[in-house]
Amino acid sequence: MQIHNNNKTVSPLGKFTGWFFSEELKYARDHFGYKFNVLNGYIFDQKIIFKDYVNELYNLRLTFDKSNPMNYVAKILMNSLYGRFGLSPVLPESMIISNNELDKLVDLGEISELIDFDDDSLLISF
Amino acid sequence: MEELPKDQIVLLLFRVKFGDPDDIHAPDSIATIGNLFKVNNSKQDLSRIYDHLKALLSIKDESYISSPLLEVIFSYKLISLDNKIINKVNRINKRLKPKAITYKMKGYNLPNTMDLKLWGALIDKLEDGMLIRKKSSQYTYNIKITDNPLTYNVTLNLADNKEIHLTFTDKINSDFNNLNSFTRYIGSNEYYFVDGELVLKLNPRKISFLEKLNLIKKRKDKKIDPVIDEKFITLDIETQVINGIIKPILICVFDGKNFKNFFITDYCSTHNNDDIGNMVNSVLIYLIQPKYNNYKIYIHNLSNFDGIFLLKYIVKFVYKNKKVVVKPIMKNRKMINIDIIFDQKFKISLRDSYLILLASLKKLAKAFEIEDKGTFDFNKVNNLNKHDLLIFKEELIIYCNKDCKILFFIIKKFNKLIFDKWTLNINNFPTLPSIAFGLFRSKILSENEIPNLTGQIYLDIKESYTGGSLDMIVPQGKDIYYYDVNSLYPSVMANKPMPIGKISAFEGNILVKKS
Repeated sequence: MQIHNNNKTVSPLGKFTGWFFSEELKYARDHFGYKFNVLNGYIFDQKIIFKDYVNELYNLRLTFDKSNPMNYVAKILMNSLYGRFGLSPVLPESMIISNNELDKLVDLGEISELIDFDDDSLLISF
Repeated sequence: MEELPKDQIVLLLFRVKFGDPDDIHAPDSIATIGNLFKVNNSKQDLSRIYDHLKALLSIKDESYISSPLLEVIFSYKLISLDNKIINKVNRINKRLKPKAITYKMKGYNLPNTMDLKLWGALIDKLEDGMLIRKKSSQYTYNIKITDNPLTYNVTLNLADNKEIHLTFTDKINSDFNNLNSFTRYIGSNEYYFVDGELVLKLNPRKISFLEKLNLIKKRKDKKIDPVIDEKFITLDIETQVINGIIKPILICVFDGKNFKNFFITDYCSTHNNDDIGNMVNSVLIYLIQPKYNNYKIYIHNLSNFDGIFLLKYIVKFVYKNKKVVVKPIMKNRKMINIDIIFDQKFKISLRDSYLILLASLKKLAKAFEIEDKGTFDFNKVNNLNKHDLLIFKEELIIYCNKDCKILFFIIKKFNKLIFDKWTLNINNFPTLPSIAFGLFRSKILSENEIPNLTGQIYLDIKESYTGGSLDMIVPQGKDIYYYDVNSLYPSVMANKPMPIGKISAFEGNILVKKS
């Protein structure tokens, strides 16, 4: 089982607490001897929801030869959907501000991007 | 650093540049590592920079090991410390406080059993239930009893009053076969008792669902079918390197019919020394023609060098005595979309076509069966002065026009493929995942199926999401077997269930719940 630790993924030994996917936990319990107590979590229903999407694009790949652009299009679309669901619900905001305005932002640690336009303006994202 | 005044701090941002050893034409990719870092001039802070960078690089080194790290780039900015406080940036706080298990529910102490003898003194037996005085209180339980499974529908009243203070339902848990194992339903909450102990609380969360994307617009009850949108232009920039500094020397624009070229030597002015600024201004003046209103300007690999350089001049651009409004949307240093609004009514948007078609122009030209990309040896123009540069003007324009044209027809072909198949226009989707998402939402998704994860639920679930399951610690060996799985991710997506529907938060051991 893995947890996040200082921006790294680690698999600790001993006792630790974290958030895990239930099925991974059960697998770790049944195959690797992990023991756990459940504290809290979230439950969902479950359903196969991507079959039609993958099948449509996979069949498209089979229909067109590898040299055909549609084969490439289908491949990249098929591989690009899943990650989209991991996207943060909070979109980083970018704006162009003057140097004076930057001084007013207290929580500078939240700024993930800063591009200086070497006159009086700069672009920040947070 | 040591000369930095005490009342100033430096903001630092670290970036690393990777190359692609398999494809020399592939654009370098630049990744920002870590967030903005603040330092002052103390020795302590200097060593903090070192540790910070070392830690960041060791992380990234592992995840990007296949791409050689070419450069570490420092971006910095000095700021004064005076004039602090004011806007705090909004942020969701991470917190997790497991609440103590309590038998107090909705402000009332309720029994942990369905054994009615323990609820209080019997007042009256009713036709389908009982009236019980709650222990050491003025309340009365009015209990309606049904069987199979044993269920109590209970209201809590004050003894001399008909007003209902609380309603709940207890249902026996047939897995355990005793009166102390049951489920209590109060409102939308569920409480699971096993042998008298509250082992699980379920609390449904208010959530919204991902909505279907409707491609057919309605206007005055008339359905409007989607039409193909080919309102786009391609733009390409050529550069030379002078004393290690990259300078743009040629900008080409192609709208599918006409080329327009802007060459640096035509923009030397006696009014100022800013030939690059003059050149970009001319490009912008050309692009704000009313006929290009609402056009998307595709630039391959805008996010790396071209975008920053362009933005720098765009924010300074003055049109009809007014500055243009620039609205950038950036993510991880990728320029997703940059709206440029002139005169409050005309708009063009810069897009990075590399975010839609993740390959070099050369590879794309091949994949889309467009004519092959030309070649130009840029070493020829590096460090040349304006006068000598003129010799290569024609050759550069031919090369740049070809790139613009190739990009235009790649996008046109891609857009047509996507539109003919799924009636989606790529002008509405600035990245490849957003096209995939648009396709899924318009053609596949069912209503009320995929919950939107926001706030604390998102943060908690994201904690369980890790990479790094596989690692190559020793990058060499003998007699190594190589395995490749055909469409591994898609096959798992297609055949395995995903979490969907309404979400309930729980406290306690969920494993006691059988279904």
